[in-house]
Amino acid sequence: MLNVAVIGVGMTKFGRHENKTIRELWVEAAIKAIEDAKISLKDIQAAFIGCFSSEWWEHQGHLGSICADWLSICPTSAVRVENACASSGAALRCGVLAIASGLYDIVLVGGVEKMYSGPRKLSDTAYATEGLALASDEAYEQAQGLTFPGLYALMATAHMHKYGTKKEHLSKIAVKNHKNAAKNPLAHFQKEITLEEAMNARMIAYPLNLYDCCPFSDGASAAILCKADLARRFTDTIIHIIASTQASDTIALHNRESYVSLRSARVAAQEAYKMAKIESKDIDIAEVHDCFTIAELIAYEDLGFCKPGEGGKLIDEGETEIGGRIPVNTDGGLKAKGHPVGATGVAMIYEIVKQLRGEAINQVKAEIGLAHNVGGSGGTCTIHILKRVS
Amino acid sequence: MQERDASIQSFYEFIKEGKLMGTKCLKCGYINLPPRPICQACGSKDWEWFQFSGKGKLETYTIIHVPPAKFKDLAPYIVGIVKLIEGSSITAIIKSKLDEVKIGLDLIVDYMEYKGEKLLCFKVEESQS
Ligand SMILES: [Zn+2]
Repeated sequence: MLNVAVIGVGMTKFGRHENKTIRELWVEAAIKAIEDAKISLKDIQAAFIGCFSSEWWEHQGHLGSICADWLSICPTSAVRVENACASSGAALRCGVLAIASGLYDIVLVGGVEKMYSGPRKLSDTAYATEGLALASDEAYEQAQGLTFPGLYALMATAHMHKYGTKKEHLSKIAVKNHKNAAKNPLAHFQKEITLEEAMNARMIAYPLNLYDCCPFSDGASAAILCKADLARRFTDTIIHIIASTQASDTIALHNRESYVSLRSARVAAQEAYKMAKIESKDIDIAEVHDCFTIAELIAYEDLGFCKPGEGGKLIDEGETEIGGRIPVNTDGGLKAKGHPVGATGVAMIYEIVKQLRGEAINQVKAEIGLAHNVGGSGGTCTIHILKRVS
Repeated sequence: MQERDASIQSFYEFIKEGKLMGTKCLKCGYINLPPRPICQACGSKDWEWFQFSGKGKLETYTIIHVPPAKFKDLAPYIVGIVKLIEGSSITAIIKSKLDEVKIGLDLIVDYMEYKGEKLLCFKVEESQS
């Protein structure tokens, strides 16, 4: 129905890039996607780039043009898309809509973020923490001393109280994602951790400790989309985007009906399953937005991989591990692969495409993959479903 | 015509006066907290000011160990979402011993002078604790 295919993907290593600026990271990822698609710069008809806060971390605005300029694709139109941590999920969706509209045949999408110190601006943990807080409600959450980890901690406390979820369930998610990242050369951390380490790390926002939180990362991601009828010109393994949805919710948690589920994710997922004419049980592999361990557990429930309240049971039974019924975050997730905020949504697409092509580091058997990209504490959620059709 | 807009500035002016105020929708009766010019429940733009009793229960909480720079002197401190008896919820600092905080705790609105500002917070309601 959307008539959109993904013909190329590329990403930088996620982690620290102290000698690189935003535009340089972006160009590295974009060139990799262009080479992967075997197209040339002049084939690109439009670009959509997700970035959360280049102003905060690099004092740089007007990102669309800079990204087009440094990639040498001017005068092609380029737009910067901002939906907090879902910026590149939203940029991807803009690309999908641009092709589905019939206006373009080939579009470049992606995302970038620079959160550590770079050659042009210094950053540290305190500065980066305050930067992330920009995704929450300034007047009614930040002003009350709430931090970004604190928002997800509020959800974790509520989930534990309502469903009896244990800290151990959260720590098991961290252990799984670190294990998946251990062999991924593009991951921020390539280090397995033990359950004991995950349980006993330094407290950040009770009940979440350091190992429940994803790291700050630098990095970029990119993908080339084309009109599905043209895809065979570029590749033999055709991957279609069979659903692309997005939903919003109140920015502040206190204005929501529930603190144990994200309405934006439930709505976007239900619409996506309907658009793709599939059910949640048809998903072979998923990339979910585990900015905090509790976020992955809630995603299991919001996406219908288990019933509400049974996320802890799903991780206990190993169903989301490689070899389980529905492997989740086979690349290490935000937790261990890293979370350069604006780059995350399309980096999920990178992993799904690699899995569907049979080129993944932690390869599983998969024909249909889902990417769940959340902005802030659920103010935005984008869902994309990809299917290998040949 | 209301004397004050349903604005963020008005909310904090009321806090300075020791009042926790929301906007009550004249069409559907929903009480919006924080105040909003457009009802979250029905979309109506007709509203009047509503003063909360300040009594409520703790719906969920966290203990902030790594605070923003501004709140450094308070850490570790509790931030929670309080459901007021009138039905609306709001985020605020909770004055409670760290090892006594729990969901369902009876709370009453309180205010705290901090760095020249009057902060909204809640304390444990003595009569019921
Ligand atoms: Zn109303």
